Parts: sequence; C-alpha cells; structure tokens
Amino acid sequence: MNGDYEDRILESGLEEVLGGQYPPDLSAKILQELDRRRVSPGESPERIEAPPTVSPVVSWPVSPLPPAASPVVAVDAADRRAERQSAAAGTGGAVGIGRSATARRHSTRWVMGWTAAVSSGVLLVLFAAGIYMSRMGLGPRAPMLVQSPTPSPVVPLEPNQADSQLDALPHREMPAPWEPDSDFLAPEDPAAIASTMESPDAPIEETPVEDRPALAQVRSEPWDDARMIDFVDRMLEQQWHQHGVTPAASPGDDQWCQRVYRRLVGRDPTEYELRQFLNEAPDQRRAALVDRLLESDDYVRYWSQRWSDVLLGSAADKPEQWGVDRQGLEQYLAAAIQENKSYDEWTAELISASGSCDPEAPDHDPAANFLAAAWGTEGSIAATDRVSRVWLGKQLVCAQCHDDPASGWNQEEFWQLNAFFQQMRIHRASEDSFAAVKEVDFHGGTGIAQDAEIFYPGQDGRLRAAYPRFKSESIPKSGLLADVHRRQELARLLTRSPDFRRAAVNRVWAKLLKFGFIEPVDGAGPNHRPSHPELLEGLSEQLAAHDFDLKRLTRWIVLSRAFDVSDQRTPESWLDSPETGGAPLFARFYTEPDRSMDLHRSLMVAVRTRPTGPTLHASKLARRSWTPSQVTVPQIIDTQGSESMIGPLWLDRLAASDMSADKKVEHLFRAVLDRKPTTREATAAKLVLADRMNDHLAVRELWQILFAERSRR
Amino acid sequence: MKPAIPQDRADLDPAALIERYQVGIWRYLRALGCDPAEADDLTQETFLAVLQHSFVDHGPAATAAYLRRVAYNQLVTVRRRSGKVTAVEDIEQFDRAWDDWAGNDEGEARLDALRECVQQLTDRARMALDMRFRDRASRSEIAAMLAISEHGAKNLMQRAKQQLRACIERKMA
Repeated sequence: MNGDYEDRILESGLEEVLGGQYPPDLSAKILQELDRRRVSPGESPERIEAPPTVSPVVSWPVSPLPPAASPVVAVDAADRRAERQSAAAGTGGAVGIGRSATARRHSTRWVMGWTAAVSSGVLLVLFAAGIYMSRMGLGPRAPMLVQSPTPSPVVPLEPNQADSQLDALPHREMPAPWEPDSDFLAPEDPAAIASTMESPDAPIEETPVEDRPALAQVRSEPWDDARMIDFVDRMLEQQWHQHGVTPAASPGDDQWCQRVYRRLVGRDPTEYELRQFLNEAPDQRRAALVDRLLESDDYVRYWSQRWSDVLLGSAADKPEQWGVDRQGLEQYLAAAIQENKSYDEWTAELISASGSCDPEAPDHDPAANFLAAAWGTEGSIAATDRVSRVWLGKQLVCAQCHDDPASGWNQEEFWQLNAFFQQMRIHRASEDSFAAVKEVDFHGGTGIAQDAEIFYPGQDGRLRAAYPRFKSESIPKSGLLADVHRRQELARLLTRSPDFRRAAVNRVWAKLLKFGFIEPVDGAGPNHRPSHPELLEGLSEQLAAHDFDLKRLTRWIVLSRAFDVSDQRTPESWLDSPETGGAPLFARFYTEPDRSMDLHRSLMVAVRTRPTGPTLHASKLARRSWTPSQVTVPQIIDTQGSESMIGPLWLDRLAASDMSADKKVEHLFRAVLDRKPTTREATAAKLVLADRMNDHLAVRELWQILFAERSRR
Repeated sequence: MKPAIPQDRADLDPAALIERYQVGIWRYLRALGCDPAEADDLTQETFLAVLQHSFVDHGPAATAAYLRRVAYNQLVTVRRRSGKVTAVEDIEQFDRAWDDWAGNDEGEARLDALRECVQQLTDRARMALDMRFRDRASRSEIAAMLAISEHGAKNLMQRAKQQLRACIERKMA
C-alpha cells in the first residue's frame, strides 16, 4: 500500500516536472476571497489550537471542518417514512435522516450552535452600526470617497445634525439602509412604498394596501407615464443631492436621439431619421420617437436578440452544442415582444415549456429552447441556477453545497427549488439532432411518486430530503404529472415573487444604462445592495401594476433624466464612477456598452440603404499583397497621421485581391477594430460586400462603418 | 527555507501563512488525485476555512500537518457531494509517505532531484514518461509510438519510476 502511495506522489512530481503543472500563487485570490467574505480570522469565538507536538498526523479536538470519513448512511423507505412522520410538524421540507452521529459530532454541533448564537449577536451589533454609517453616508454602497477637487456640498455631520438636514431635504426621506433579504422595504409596511413614490407637490389619493405575505402579488394602482417619469427623476435627484453630485448637462436633442436609437434598436439613426426627429415639435418629439421605436420592427428584432443572449447564457455562442435552435427562440421572443405579451406570461411559458426544439418536429415548441440550453451537462442543477439568475437575479450555484451568504439562500432552499425540475428530461437522439424537453413522472428518491422527494447531501454530511417549495410556499408533494405540474407551479410562484419584478427592472435598467442598481444583474443578495433601493422598489411595483409591460418600463427609463445627461465626466460628477467599483448615480451617461450587436445593426442598415445590383467580384484578379511587406495593417494605421487618409492606400488592394469575402471581412475587422468579427457581424458584412456594385466601393464603405465604430469607442 | 510565520495569534499574518504553506498544500492535493483546478479551489478553501477561525501556530510542522488534514477533509467533502469515492484508503499511511517526500521544503529538493534523474533515464523510458505526463498520451498511444505492446509500455514506465525513486534516494542520502 505504501508503495502505491509513493507511486502516486512520484507521479504528481512528474506531472510538475514533465507536464509543467506548477503550483500557482493563490495568495491574492485567497486574500481577496477572505476579504469578500468579510470574516476576519479572529472574530469567531471558536478557537482551534494547533498541537504543541510536531506530529505528521494529528487529531483535533474541535474542528469546523467536515469529519474525515463519516459515511452517508443508506436509508430505506421505512426509516425515511418514520423520520418524516416524526419530523413532519416542525422541520419543513428537509429532513435529516443520517444516523451515524458520533459524540464528537454532537459536541461539534453544540459548539457550532453556540458559535452561531454569539455570531448572531455580533452581527446584530454590526448591523446597527451599519445603519448608523449608512445614515452618515458611509455605507458600503457609497461611492468611493477621495479628495474632491472642488468643495463638496456634503460635509460630515453629527447624527442629530444629519437627521435635521435630512428633514430639510426638498424630497423624500433618506433611503432606508439595505437589509439583507428584507425585500427592499418591509412587507408589513407597504405604505412606505406609496409614501416614497408620492410627490409632495402632486399628492395622490391613498390606496390602502393590506399586509402582504412574502409572495402575494400585490398590484398597486398603476400610475400614468408622466408620473412615473417624474418619480424616476426625483429619485435620481435625491441620490445626486445626497452625494453632493451635480448631474452632467443635457446632451442635446441630436445626441439624445442617437443614444436612444442605439439603446432601443441597437443602431445609429440614419440621416433621414435624425432630420425627421429634429423637425418635430420640440416638446413632443422625444416621447414620439420613443413610442415610434418601441413599435418598430427594429426594436422587436434587437430585443429578441438581447433576451436570447440573456436566456441562453453561455450557450448563446454555440447553441448547436446543446441542440438548441437560437433562431427559433428569437422568433418566439420576437412574437412575444411584437404582441407586447406581458413579461410574466412569457416567463411562465419558458419555464413550463415542453416539446422539441426542432422546427420540423410535430411537437415543436420554440420556448423549449431555453430549458434545453439551461439543462446543459449539469442537468437540473444548471437549470435551477439559470432560472434563478435570469428571473430572480441571484446566483444560486454555490447554495447547492452550502448556505450561501452571497445570495442569501440556504442549501435547503436551493434543493427545494431544484425539486421543481424533476419532472423533465432532455432528450437528444444524437449529437447532431435538436434537443427536446420531455415531461416525465417523477418517482422520488425512494420510488414513491405520490410523495416524491429528492435527496441531497447536507452540509453535515447527512443525506437530506427536499420537496418542491419556493421560498415560503409549497406545492403538493406528488411527482405525477396528473397530480401536479411542478414547473407550471414554479412559474406561478416565481412570477409573483418580489425578486422577480426587481430582477426584471434591474436587468432592463442595466441594458439601457449600462449599469443596474445591483451589479452584476444576477448578483442580488445581502452583499449587493441596490444603489437606489426606493427607485428599484417603486419601478418594480409599478411594473407589476402595469401587468409587466416591459415597453412601458423602457419608456419610463428612456424619457427620464437618466437618459438626458451628457456622457462627459465633469468635476461635479466625478463621484459617479461605477466603472471603478463605486455605486452608479446615473449623473452622467455611461458609454462603451457592448457594441458588437450595435455594429451588426449598423451593418444591416447599411445593406438596406444601398442600391442593389449585380455584384462585380474581383475574384479573377491575381492575388497579391495589399499591405506593404513586414508591416501589419494596425501598424499602418497607427503610424500614419490622419486615419481618414489611410483608407485609400490599402483598401483598393484589399478590394482587388482574390481573397474570399470571409477573409476580406476578417482583415477589415482586424485592421480597424483589432478583433475578429462575430459570426453575426461577419454575415452582415458579407452582405454589404455582396450588395455593392463593385468591390472597391463595398470595401470602402465597410471600412467607413468600422472606422466610425472605432471612433465611437 | 521560508520564514516561519509569527507565533502569536495577534500577529498572525494571513498573507504570510498562505505564502508559507500554499505550495505544500497544493502539491499534497495533487498527490491525492486532484487535478490542478481542483487543487486550486481546495487550497483556497483550506486557507479560508482556517483563517476564518481563531488559529494558534505551534510551529511549521504542526501547522503544515493541520493544514493538510483540513485540505483532506475538504477533498472528502467535495468527493462525497459529487458521488465519487475518495481515492485514499489510508490517509495516515499516505501522510507518512508524503512527509517522507516533502520534507521541510514542500518537496522542492526532491523535485530538483527528480529533474536530474529524469535526464539519466534511457531515451525510450524518458520518451514514455514524456508522452504520459507531458502529452497526456494513453498507454496504447505510448505503446504504438514505441512499437511495443501495452503491457510492455506499462512495464517500461513502471521500471522507469522505480529507477527514478532509487535515483532520488541516492541523491537525497
């Protein structure tokens, strides 16, 4: 045996010596993670003392870590049922069923329980301190505080002074400190939301709101657009005032028009479109343009693509790998956006879809593409995480193994959510075929379909059982489709969740303004408090009140001041620096969004606006170098004075060469943008080439589009 | 020889602790069968688990042994959750073998010796080990390249490893 171990150790040495697998320096990564978890080494009262003896193998009286070898006990159905009956009254959905606990482990649990109690006390003290600091403007979400080049209107105040100044603010009270999992505002105090959203100079009739259970779908009275836009403006101004930030000036109508086109339809306006906008009545043209774009085919296409990216996640680039028909999903989303189907409705359709992704199949359901992609190789675990990321704005993948302080979800809740996905399987006949979502009865871990549980290994190493349960609401435990369709039930519960509407608002806001209230958009949790909690809450409440009409939400955002500030960084807005990790204040317009899709849209517009006719390819011309020897195109661009003069020097050579269209496009992208085109961009660019009367003109115009793109960066 | 970390808990520097022991823990996990990525993750979790609790250092050897035990427990947990069998049947025996190998410098001296010993192997033996550990070739691929049977390739590599062990012992003596 010892020889075997020596062999393995030697082999690991050979992998390092011959295979080059050297140990990395993990110091920075570990320290960063340690800092992120915000647990200093000395906080815990639990004390582990290394033994005074120098021994290669030591045993530890108290260990916070898993026991070295506690076997997972196989459980038979009778035992499980007995455990379940005895624990049914109090333990909720998860039942501990291991039975190999040793006295040491009991002792450890007692110590850990005591530790948890003391830690809770410490946390309460820290939380109270957090409230105090937040009121002082020193909370962790406050922008980075560095020496201001100009005198800041914000000065440190004593607590009582701060309160008196807050009372004197022209707007609402200061935002409440972010409470982990407090659902933004206390559920038992819904009036706070209404009072927050109420304008002092435009009081509205009070709508009595009853106390809300956690998942109750409360629909506030819908406000009209003007009132919502005013609400957004006031909430933004409140944050600017609070942080002593002066927003950037208005960018002017032409720039505003350009950015609205880019963010709503993913391209620049044509000259005609810009002229048309500027010729309209000044007091109406902005709203008219937004309405026009929201009803345009460009908006439908653009947002169906963007939502496809969100839904498919990492599968977006290689949908065929998972048997997914991206085009089919985009068409489904385009139809939903076209008819303005409510967001919760198409969410429910995607979550509960079943059928084939194959457009030719008789049971074709394009909505099934989402789950087929989400299923991936990790199955229901990946689907659970994907659903939570997209629609709850939370990353739950860590919670599958342990309680996750980042998302605020515990391990039990993860597996209870996972249990909703047990009545489906992904079927693929071959690696080349489309996937299909198949519905199956679930018989549970012990084969009893009427009481179908899943088992998972708990943090203490014991096997635990979980039934479908979303936050505080359970559904029948049967795994039979005839009794209950678990995914349909999940869709119902999820779309009623406050997290659902908040995640929707945060994502749309981030898509339009580059940064969301919570960053990243799927990183909601106690550690990621929203930058504008009241604004997020108000928008999400009203989104629900307007039947999850995303176009209306988009209208509120685009017509607010968030869109009407320049992208210029000014001394008065220097505190607003989300790019460097601070909280976004939206006092200036954040540029440099993902441009790949926008460039694609610009290319497609270029194709449509050009005359069509026979293509004159230069393929018969002899292939010859179109760049000077030993000098790359980027070097040429960088070493010549005026970039606008560079084009004619080599574009003609490129056009005259007999390179394939693919190669020409790639050369152009590499030369101008220093990267390869995406598949989508390459297709559009080739359309431009094929659409020209001659290759020289085509290459030149393509270069102009790319050069304009480069100039914008 | 790396500097020992401070003895007093109040002076414990997490960065120094990590710097001093991370290489040893990473190599230990690799020897236990972790791939490099898994070793990265578990090394990180090991230090995080230790640094999130009060810790008193009683010397390099005891601390190294303690960190290895924590790392092993992390590995057991991960393997159990993923339904895999933990590869080591007798961890105490494995630890003794590891202590012999690692010595006081996380195995640096033996790895240096190993590099020299590899150069002393026959061309065929070195080629076989190169293919196995550098190119990740299977035994059948190695056999095909060397025009021998799979069994022959296995014996060739086994003998090469015995020679390497003997060579290292000679150099370390």
